[in-house]
Amino acid sequence: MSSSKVNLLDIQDPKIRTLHLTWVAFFLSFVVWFNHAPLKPLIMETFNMSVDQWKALLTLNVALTIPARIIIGMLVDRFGPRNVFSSLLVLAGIFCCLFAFAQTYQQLALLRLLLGFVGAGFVIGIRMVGEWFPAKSVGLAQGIYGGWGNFGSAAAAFTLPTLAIVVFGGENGWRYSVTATGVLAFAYGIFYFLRAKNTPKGSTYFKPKRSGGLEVSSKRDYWLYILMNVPMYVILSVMVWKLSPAGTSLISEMTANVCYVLFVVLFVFQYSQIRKVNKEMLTHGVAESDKYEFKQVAVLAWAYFVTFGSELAVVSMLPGFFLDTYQGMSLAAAGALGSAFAFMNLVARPSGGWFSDKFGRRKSLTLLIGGLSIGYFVLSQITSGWPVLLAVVAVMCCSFFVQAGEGAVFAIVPLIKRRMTGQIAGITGAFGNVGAVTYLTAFTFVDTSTFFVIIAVSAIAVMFLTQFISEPSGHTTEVLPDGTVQLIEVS
Amino acid sequence: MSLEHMSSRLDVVVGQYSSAGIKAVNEDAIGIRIPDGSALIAKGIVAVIADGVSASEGGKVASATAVSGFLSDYYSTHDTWSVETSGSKVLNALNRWLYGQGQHYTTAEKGYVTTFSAVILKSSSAYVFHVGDSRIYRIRAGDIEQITRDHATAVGNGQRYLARAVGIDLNLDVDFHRLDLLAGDLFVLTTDGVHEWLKTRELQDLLHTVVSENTVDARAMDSACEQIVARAMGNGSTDNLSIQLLRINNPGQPEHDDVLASVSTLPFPPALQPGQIIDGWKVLSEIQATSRSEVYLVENQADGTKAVLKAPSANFMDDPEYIERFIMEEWVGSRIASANVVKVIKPPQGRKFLYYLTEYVSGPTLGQLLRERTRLSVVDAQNIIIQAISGLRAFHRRDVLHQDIKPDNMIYSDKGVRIIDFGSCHVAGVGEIKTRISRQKTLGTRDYCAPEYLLNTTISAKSDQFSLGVLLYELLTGKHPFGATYHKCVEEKDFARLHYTPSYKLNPLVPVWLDGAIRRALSIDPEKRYPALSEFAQDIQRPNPAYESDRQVMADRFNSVRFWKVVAGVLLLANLLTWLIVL
Repeated sequence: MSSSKVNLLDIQDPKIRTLHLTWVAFFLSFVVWFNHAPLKPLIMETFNMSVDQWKALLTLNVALTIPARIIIGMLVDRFGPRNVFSSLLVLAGIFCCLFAFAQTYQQLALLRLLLGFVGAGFVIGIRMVGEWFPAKSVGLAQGIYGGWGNFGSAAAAFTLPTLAIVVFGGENGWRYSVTATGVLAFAYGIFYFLRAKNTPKGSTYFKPKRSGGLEVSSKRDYWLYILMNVPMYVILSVMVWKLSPAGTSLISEMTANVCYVLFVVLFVFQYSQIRKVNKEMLTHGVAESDKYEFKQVAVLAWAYFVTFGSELAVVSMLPGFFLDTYQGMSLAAAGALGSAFAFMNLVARPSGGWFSDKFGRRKSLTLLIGGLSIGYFVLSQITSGWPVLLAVVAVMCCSFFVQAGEGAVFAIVPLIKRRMTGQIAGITGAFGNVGAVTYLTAFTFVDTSTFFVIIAVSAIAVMFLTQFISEPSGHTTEVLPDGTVQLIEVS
Repeated sequence: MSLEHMSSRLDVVVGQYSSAGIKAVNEDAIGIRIPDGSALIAKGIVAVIADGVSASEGGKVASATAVSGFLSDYYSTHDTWSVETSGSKVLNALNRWLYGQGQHYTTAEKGYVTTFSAVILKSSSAYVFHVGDSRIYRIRAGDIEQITRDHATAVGNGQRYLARAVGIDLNLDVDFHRLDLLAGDLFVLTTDGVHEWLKTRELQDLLHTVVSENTVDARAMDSACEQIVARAMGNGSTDNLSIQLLRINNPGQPEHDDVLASVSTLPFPPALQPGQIIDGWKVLSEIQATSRSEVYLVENQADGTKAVLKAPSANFMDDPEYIERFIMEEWVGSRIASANVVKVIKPPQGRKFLYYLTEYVSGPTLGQLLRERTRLSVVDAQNIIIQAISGLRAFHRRDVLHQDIKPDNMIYSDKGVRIIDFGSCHVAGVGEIKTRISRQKTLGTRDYCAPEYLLNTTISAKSDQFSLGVLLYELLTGKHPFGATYHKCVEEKDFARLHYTPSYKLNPLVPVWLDGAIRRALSIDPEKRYPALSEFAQDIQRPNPAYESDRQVMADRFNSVRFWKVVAGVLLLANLLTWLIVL
């Protein structure tokens, strides 16, 4: 009957079993999502690809994730996490195998775009874990879920090159190793469907009252919220423009125009959803007890933009970066070094949360973002003249600040408006993806060094933004030595 | 923690006047009641107008009884009853009484007959009960609208015949409806002595001049009533004249904020560890922690009594809807008295945190029992369900639906079966207290909930009966009556396709008549279930001849389709053989 501890070995406990089942599902979704990154030279060689084309591929991989999050969120509300996660993995498995056997660059690009969907898996598990764990241990459980699942990209970087070259070998080695991840995801999707349950026995799966948009509590916040959605469409449009004849000519003028129209439609749809959710508030206002400041959400979203956004971007380009910088490095070694970044997830994320609890929310976040800014400046200076070890240390230090920053962001998320934590986490998470698309799109315009500088500079801007966060109110109770729980008088 | 905490800002100024006019006797009756405190929230403000029918001997008595009876009886109905339930029940009782009084007259019209129109103002809504040809008007933003329909038929030569009234018939057909209230609304109740002699337009103009924004006190409203009556008299009214005016200064819209303000002052307790003490209760162990609530076994430090403490989950710290529900849980529990329902304990030392206490009943839940034994003996199962029915009837008597009958919500103690958990209860009266936040609806799968929850049709006490049927079946067989497909049903056609496996097929010891009772309680169509739980209880205890016939069993045990297929096959073969031989 231990309460706030999570005993991970007690697999008899159905909630622990669910946690393990779910983080593995998320882990595999990340493996599939980033299985191309460490295989860069093999894929580029097979298709005789230009660097621009490769960069475009990286961007496509994260593009669809943004709208997918909205759609997946709605599907989870409708069908429950079990069905959605299983279907997502099965579909990802199929697309992944098709990707592995693509014959043209166009096919490759299309399938990478479709695989962007799998990146939205995060939301599903958050919901699942939330259903199973009581409030006092849900934070830890979601930390384990998120941290271990994110590790999937590192695992892919670590193992896939070896799998491709050593185990399968040959010209098509990369195809087989990508297929392997696809088959794994497909099989696990079925396994997950058979073993996972949406809720503990006897509980009811509750549908959120209002979905489709976040409830805000003032007219000013309403417009700020609408405004916060604009960057998403701007960056998607920039990406399309870059792919169109005006840029790398990967898609036709016609396709590009269709995309622009689609974005407008999507924006209007989203606006109507937001309006629907907030209609009541706009006409009648909102109860005093229900007020919160949207600015808090906005700042956290931008903080996640530079932390998680840069992580996703860097994780997909880092193996290639090592390979380019250090001529003669083996693909497996580059993959392993590239994974150094995601590796830090296991410790850095929880540390960020701990810093935040210990030293104050705003101060921790400011320092961590400041740290990652310096970290990226350092990375921008890496040349072939650097010893490999030093480069790896620099990468790991930088990634520590990045992921601790993510932890610090999510330490504040539940404190803004408890009952809307899920939705606020959703918006914040979506901005992480917007960040990834933004940075990767930027990457298609510039060289690696400038790319790191761009991240560093944007981090400084966000560091100033974090000063707008107001410290959320803390605990209101204390426990006396004899065990009596009592209220702290607030003067 | 109860409704007494909730204060309302419903603010109404009223006036009324009744006159015999040119007649000798005033057979009209009027009455308004504005209670204070909790009754104002739970029951609201009532205005009643009644016009005793002149043709009848007891017109005066009838109208007076109807008004005074309704005003006192309505407020004595149970707090959890809805306005519709309370009003209809009281009105029906009055009707029956008046009808009984009039029985010795040769024609019903000669008895104790009266019209009846009432408006009840509660939680920013107006509820209207109406029988007969008295009228209720609503004036909103200067526009007058008659919100009742006259139950009168013209029979030529200017005479009118009352089609419906209280006291005419044993069955009373009452018009009931609900309207939203807005500040500034004016309700006008009149008898025909007034509205027959004042055109609606004239009444509107008159009201405009006599009731202004500045008419704030009751005396001014009363004098406005007198002026209108005087005008109707002036127009030549030959009947008794009565009028009531209710002006809404504040409909009580932000009531929900008040509800919250009174309870949100109590903070959520932190996650409790064994050994910690909260308001004099020492935590012994954690019984259950889910994403919605945390339940602990606690011991009173003063006298060592044990109790169960249920605390809200920190996940909902700022969810007013959840908090409202949580408070309602305790309130519902404290009002249900039954040996088969767990008792809510009032904390003797008061409390500084939001939680509630129930008595500690030792013993396994039926769920645990089923996991150990797979199924129970027929006698035990009957016994358990009879007790569960007695507990459930205590809920239903208070217009409360339990809505979550399942094995894990029943404790099997040495003192009998206890129903626990009020978390899903639906309370008719309280459902009307308006909240701006919509209630959550179940979406997913529940093996015990009746089809109507998913089909979105009317939920009633029969929905609890269905759950009880599933429970009894499970106790007897260890299985779900419709198998695993049940929780996948979403639409009507899914339910129609369900196949019921008779319980005696899985457990031969189950008598056929008992299965018949279960089967009826499990009807997909609520209309086909037992009209009352008491009948279900009876059929569980004693064989109902209707279900006793062996034919059903024979049909089930002896697969007739297969039998006839075999017969047909054999005959075909015989035919072929004969044919071959003949050839």
